[in-house]
This record gives sequence, C-alpha cells and structure tokens, in this order.
Amino acid sequence: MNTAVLRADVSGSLASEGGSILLVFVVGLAATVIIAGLYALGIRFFAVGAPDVVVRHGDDPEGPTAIVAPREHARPRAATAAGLVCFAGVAAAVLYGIYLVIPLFH
Amino acid sequence: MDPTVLVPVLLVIALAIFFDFTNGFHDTANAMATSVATGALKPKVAVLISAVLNLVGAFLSTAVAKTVSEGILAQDDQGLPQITVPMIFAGLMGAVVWNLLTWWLGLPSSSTHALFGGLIGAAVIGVGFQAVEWGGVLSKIVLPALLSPFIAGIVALCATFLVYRITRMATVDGSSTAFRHGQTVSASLVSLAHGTNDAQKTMGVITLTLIVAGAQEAGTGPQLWVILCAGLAIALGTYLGGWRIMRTVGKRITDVKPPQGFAAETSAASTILISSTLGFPLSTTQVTSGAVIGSGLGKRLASVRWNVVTRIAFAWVVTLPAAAIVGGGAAWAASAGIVGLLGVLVIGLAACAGLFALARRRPVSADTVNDESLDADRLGARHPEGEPA
Repeated sequence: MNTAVLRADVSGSLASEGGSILLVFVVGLAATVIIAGLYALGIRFFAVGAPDVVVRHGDDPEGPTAIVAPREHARPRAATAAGLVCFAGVAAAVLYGIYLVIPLFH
Repeated sequence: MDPTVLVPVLLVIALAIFFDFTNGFHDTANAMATSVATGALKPKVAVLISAVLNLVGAFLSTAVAKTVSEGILAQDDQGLPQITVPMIFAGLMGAVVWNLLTWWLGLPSSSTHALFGGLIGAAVIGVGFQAVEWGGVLSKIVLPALLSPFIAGIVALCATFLVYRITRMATVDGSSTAFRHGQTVSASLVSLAHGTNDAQKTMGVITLTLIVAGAQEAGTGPQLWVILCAGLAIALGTYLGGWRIMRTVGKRITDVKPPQGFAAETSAASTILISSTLGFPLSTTQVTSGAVIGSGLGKRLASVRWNVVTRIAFAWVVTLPAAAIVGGGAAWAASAGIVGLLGVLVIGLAACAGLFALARRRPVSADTVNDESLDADRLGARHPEGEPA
C-alpha cells in the first residue's frame, strides 16, 4: 500500500469514527438523562406525603446529623400511579439494555 | 504435532487464560467499585454477581472473538496477521506484566489496551512496522481512548446534577435506598456487557494461535473448550476481586454517594451499550472511570481529587506503549528459539510473583476496601484544600 492511499484511508476512517463518536455521545446523553431523570422522578412521586430528610446545608442525608421524620399522610393515588409510570419506563429501558447485550435476540 | 510447535502453543494458551484472569480482577472495579463504595452491595456479594454475569456474558456472543486483531494487525490474503506463536506469547506476557503492575498501583487501566499494546510491540519487533495497521490503531484505540472518558464524564455529570435536583440533594424520603437499588441493576448490566466483550478477546487470541499453528481452520470461531476456559478464568478473576483498584475508583477519585453511584453506573451502562450497538465499542474501564469523575463534578466541583485523576490519566496514556515495550522485548528474546521462549516465561513469571509479593505487603481485601485510612502515604490520600472532612 503506498503512502497516498494509506493517508486517505486514515483520514477517511478518522472522519467517520469522529462522526460515530459524536453520535454515541448524543444518544448516550439523551438516554441517560431520560432514564436517570425518570427514576429520580419516580422516587419523588413515591415520596409525596412524606417529609424530606432534614440536614444542614450540604450535609449527607445519610449522615449522623440527618433527621428522618415519619410520614405525615398517605400517598395520593395519583402520585402512586405517576411513580409507577416512571419506574415502568426505567424497567423498559433495562429490558431493552439486556436485549442489546444478547445477540441471540437480534 | 511436533514438540517445537506444541510447547509454544500450550504456553500461549496457559498464558492467555492467565491474562484473562488478570483481566477479570482488574476490571471488577469497573462495574462494582461504586456499588461497594455506597454500600449498595456487600463486597463479596458484588464480586459474586459480577463474576456470574461475566461468565454468562462469555457464552452470549463470540462476535468479538472472531475479529480480535482485525484492523490492528496487518493481514495476509488468508485473513491472518503476520504473526507467529512465540510473538503472541511475547505480546501476552507484556499485557500480563503491565496488568499486574497497574493492579499493584491500584490504577484502573484498560486490559484491552495492555493486550493490544503487547501484541503490537511483539509484531513490530518480530516482523516490522508493516505488520501493524497504524490507521486502525489510531481510529480504533487511540481516538476512543482519548474521547471516551470525556463522553462518559459529561453524561454522568448531567445525570448526577439532574438526579440531585429532582430529589432535592437526595433528601426526598427513600432516595438513598432507591438509588442503591437502581445502581445494583445498572452495575449488573455493565458486568454483563463486560463479559460479552472482554472474555472474547482472550478467546480471540487462543483461536488466533490455534489457526496460526495450523490446528484450526482459518475463519472459524472459538471452540467450546476455549469459550469455557476463557469464561471461567475471567469469572474467577472477577470473583477474587481487584480490591486495590476498587478502592481507587469507589473511594479515592471521589467519595461516591448513592445518587452519584446510580448516575455513574447508569451513564456507564448506557454509554457502553449504545457504543457497542453503534459499532464503536468503548473501553469499559475508561467509560466507568470517566463516569465516576463526572459524578463527582456533578455534585460539587471541588469534590474530585485531581491528583488521583492525573495518575489514572497517566496510566491510560502509557498503558499501550509500556505493554508494547515489554511485548517487544519479550518477542526479541522469544525469537531465539525454545530457550529464549523459556527465558521469557521465567522472567515474566518472576515479575508476576514479585508484584504479588509486593501487593501482600499492603493488602487490600473485601473487608478493607472502603477503609481510606489504611495507606495514608499512598495514592490520593492527601486531602486537597476545601475537601469536606
């Protein structure tokens, strides 16, 4: 292989690799933000009616200074439903992840 | 088969399986370090789950094994790289020695880079520069290595920031427990994906050796016993656990809390799965380390220990060339026939034994993996200014 061909090969493949790495970044960012966001929203919905853990600003909610109070009133049905929808979305994403890992499926 | 061929082949197979073992215990940290650090899983349980999933992963696919050296080592008309069995042995030795050295130092470096580095060094010394596809090395190894920590880091930073915002700095009732459960699931996915990738590389090397030695048809996939051995070796390595590296990733880069662990592992799992699906696989090690750094930045900019990050980055940069130098030196010695080969074996094993002995002087085990006070004079123990006590 002469040098001209070699150089063309390298730059061509680098350009295409650069494109796919950008795609990985964009898709990865979108997927992660959606999945992690849904999960956190699910936690938030399930906690409706329960007081927050009280900590001094910046302290660890699991640390020795944290105060956990008991639930004030029962969780509204709408909050339970919304939470379940969020967790179902996350579960679907996990199943899709397993599907992607196992080549037998596709 | 005559003994001058058989002995090197057997040595390569044994060394490849040992490499796979070091790969396993080097990379346990990838999936499980943050889970151990946040207490989502007990250390022994974490490594057991990871080991089983790595074993399962090894059987799921052999696609990577068939193309292990494609695009890295130049191929002849039959699709075989111009490499001999002693050169493969030398390359593996370079990879094993480098993996053990970085393990002793507690640095999460890429086992894949060590393997390819060793093979490249051996091929350059044994055949010449034309034996390596330098364009492929650049686009398949160097470029992804430079970019993947940043990609995973930014993704994890955004995810960490978001989950802390939504759960009001994790003070929402039940946050910590829920994040631990979520993290266990995403870390398990990372382990499974790791098994489908890394065990394959060893299978690929053994299969390549069998083909080069004429014991297997070119273009065929790994045989069942090869899959079995590779899967068991990586699972055993994973189970025994690279506690030294786990402590670096889970405790020293940043002290990982449940929301961060969840965000980091979820980012790592999705980045790894998406990159393999799009045909541009990224190194598990670099993605997870990048994600842990990102999760530290996403909570509070000051909470990442940059001196630890700098050391890790340095190890990443030197892994491939360093393994290449060891592999090249070994290839030069091994080219002197069976005596040279045995010399490489003896020196290599002595180096491995030396590193194991050094590691025993400051052991890190399942019981002490989260104990930061242990080696105050080592890696990252100096607390930077502004570090919360």
